[in-house]
Amino acid sequence: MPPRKKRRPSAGDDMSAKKSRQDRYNIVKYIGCDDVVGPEGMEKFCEDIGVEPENVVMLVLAWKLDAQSMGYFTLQEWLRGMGSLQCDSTERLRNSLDYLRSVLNDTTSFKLIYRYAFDFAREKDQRSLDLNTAKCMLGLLLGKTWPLFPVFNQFLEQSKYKVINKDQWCNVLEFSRTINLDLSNYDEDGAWPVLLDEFVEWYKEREMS
Amino acid sequence: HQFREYPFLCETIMIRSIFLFLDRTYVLQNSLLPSIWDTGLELFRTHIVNDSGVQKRTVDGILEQIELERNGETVDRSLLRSLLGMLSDLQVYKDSFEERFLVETNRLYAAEGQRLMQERDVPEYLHHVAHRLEEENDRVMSYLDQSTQKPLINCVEKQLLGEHMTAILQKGLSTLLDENRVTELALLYQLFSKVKGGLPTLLQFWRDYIKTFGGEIVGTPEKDKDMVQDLLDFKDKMDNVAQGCFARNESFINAMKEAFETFINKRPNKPAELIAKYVDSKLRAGNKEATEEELERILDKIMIIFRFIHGKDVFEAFYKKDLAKRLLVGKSASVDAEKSMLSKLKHECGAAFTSKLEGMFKDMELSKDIMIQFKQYTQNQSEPSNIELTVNILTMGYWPSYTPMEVHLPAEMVKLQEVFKLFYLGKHSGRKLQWQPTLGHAVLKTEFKEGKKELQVSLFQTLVLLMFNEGEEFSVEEIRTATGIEEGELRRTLQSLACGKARVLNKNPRGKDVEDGDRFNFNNDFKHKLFRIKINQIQMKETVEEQVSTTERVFQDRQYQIDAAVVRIMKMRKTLSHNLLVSELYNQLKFPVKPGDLKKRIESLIDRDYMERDKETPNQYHYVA
Repeated sequence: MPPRKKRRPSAGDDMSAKKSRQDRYNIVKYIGCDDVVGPEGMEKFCEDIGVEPENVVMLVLAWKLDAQSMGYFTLQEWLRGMGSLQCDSTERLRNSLDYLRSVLNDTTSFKLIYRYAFDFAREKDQRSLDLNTAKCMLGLLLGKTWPLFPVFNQFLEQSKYKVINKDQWCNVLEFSRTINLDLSNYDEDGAWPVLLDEFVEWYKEREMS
Repeated sequence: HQFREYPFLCETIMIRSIFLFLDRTYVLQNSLLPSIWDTGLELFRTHIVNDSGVQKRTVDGILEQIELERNGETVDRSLLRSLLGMLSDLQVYKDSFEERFLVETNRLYAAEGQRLMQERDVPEYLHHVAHRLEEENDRVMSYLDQSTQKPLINCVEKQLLGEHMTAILQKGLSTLLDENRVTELALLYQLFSKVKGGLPTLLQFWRDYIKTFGGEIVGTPEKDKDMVQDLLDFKDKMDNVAQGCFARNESFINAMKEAFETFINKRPNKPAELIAKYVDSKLRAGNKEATEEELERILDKIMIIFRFIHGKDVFEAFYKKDLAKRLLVGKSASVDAEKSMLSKLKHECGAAFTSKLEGMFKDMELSKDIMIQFKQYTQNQSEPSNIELTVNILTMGYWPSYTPMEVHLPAEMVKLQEVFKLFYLGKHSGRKLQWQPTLGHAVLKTEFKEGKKELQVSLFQTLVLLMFNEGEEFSVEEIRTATGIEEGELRRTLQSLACGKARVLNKNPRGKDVEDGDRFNFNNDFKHKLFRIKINQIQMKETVEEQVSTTERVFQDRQYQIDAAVVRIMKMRKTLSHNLLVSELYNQLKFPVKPGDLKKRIESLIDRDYMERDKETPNQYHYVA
């Protein structure tokens, strides 16, 4: 694990410093127009550090960089984020991947990442996440850890929902953490969003037949 | 003295008489010696009555006689009275007779209860029980000792009623109530009130009966037409039973109210809607079946049913819509009845509930004044119009919302509208007038071959008919272009003029429905016995639509009310757990609502950033300022 101590960037947005750092982080290779790492750059970047773009670790990285939207890193996000990770080259970043993965095991950080993922994946002109994206993101985040995920996914597929709002999104995590796999401790009169009430009802009906 | 009735006592009296002197002088002096009389009795008790053989035969005989009498035969009652009196006097009544008598009675009635419950129907059985009780009471009066009454009657009541309470009610109560058998119901109540636990059991069955029966009235959509009348009749009947048969027992009356409230709300919204429509049918003109007093009584009864309804807003919406129709078309039967109903509603639900309805009445009155002023105003105008115009000014918000519809009015009408607008806005500047052609109606003077007639028609019908001043024959399309009436509405209008009861237009080709290619011409041969003819708009389809949209509007309104209540509560409390919020909401909301619906509104408010969920404790909400 790299040392957590932050190294202060030598000078804010001084052009020469920026230039040299760009070199050090090899970002020039990836950067497209408007000082943004776009889809193509991202693909190349992923290749260089040896992970697939849809790997969950990329989400952790994006969270560390505080990236605003999926598929893009702005120059500023990149510089600030890599600074805090103390990485100045693809090699060093590759070595930090294990650390990034381990962040997922910390429940508090995971919750932050989970919540962050909603805004990250959302179309910026929409308040809610469209259902397909939501399903992919849920799969990425909970697919391996929540045994009920496949059933929940099935439920979403047959449901009338077109989008998932933030409240529903956040409650799915709570649900996956606190509710038993047989749903025995689910309280319909609790504060759960109706989406989850419906899931539980659907699931129980399915179990009956 | 009853002793004289037993032969043995006569003998004893004689012996005492013979030895009177001995008795008075010697025995009386000596306190240790019993009197001759007592000695006689004592000897008789010891040697005769307490002789087991004699006693057994005596008591057997008595019991046999009683059983015979119970089976309907005539027995020597004075003999029984003498014998039992003797046993009492000798103080052996309780031990030698009563005990066995009660055991026998118990056995007899246990068997009889079992048998007759099978054989007889409930009314017959009840009468039988009453009869038996009477007989046994009579027996006590005639020859049993008074002290036997209580255990004897208890025993009969227990064996004939107490043991069979549930069976009697299960088997008979609903039939008795269905058939309204007042006598038997009163008897039932009277009998059950004597048995331990009788009335609570009866109460339970009575409540269940009302719930089941009422549930059927309310829960059968095919019978919706008669629902309200059925409910009123049912309530009347049950009231009668409670008053007449159940001795106005408070708990029975309360149970009835509770049962009504339960079953009426089992089906949401529909009863409220139908009650509103029922009131409309009673308040509408042409309802000649009731005098003012009867009408008043009906309205009072309606209010009782109305009181049970949870979703009163549905009632209000439908009532308002119908009231608007009555007021605007001038179809209200009586202003007094309308006012009386309004005051009843106000009394029941408060001023907020009726403020809009009152506003509607106020509008109508104001409109009358305005029209008087308008008449004066037009008389002073340079070019008086030959059309009479009446305008009702409706305040938006008081009245149901009507979808505005643009139609092409004839130039004269448009001009008149302008005149009125000028007049009205001159008096009340800053107001906005919007004409509602859907609500307009007119009287047209027409000349047929048969003679002059007046047609009372809607504005749409007017527009169509006026076209025939200008030409002979028009197609549907031509009429549509000229009048600008919306397609469906136009078809219904044409149908009412050419296919209804009063056919002032001819349709070519003939037929019941209006098709695209149809052409219409004026029916000069039209005949009718009346001078003024009202041609009804065809409304069938519209009422269904109206009904749906009214209900929807109520639901929409309820959502706003839930939202408002949530925000109000959260604004005051800032942070609140889900359960507390929900219970607070149930306190505040005056209509029935499911917890799931509340949650949907809460989620929607979260989504719209009026509030947020606590990040750590998901069942806690925070108000977002």
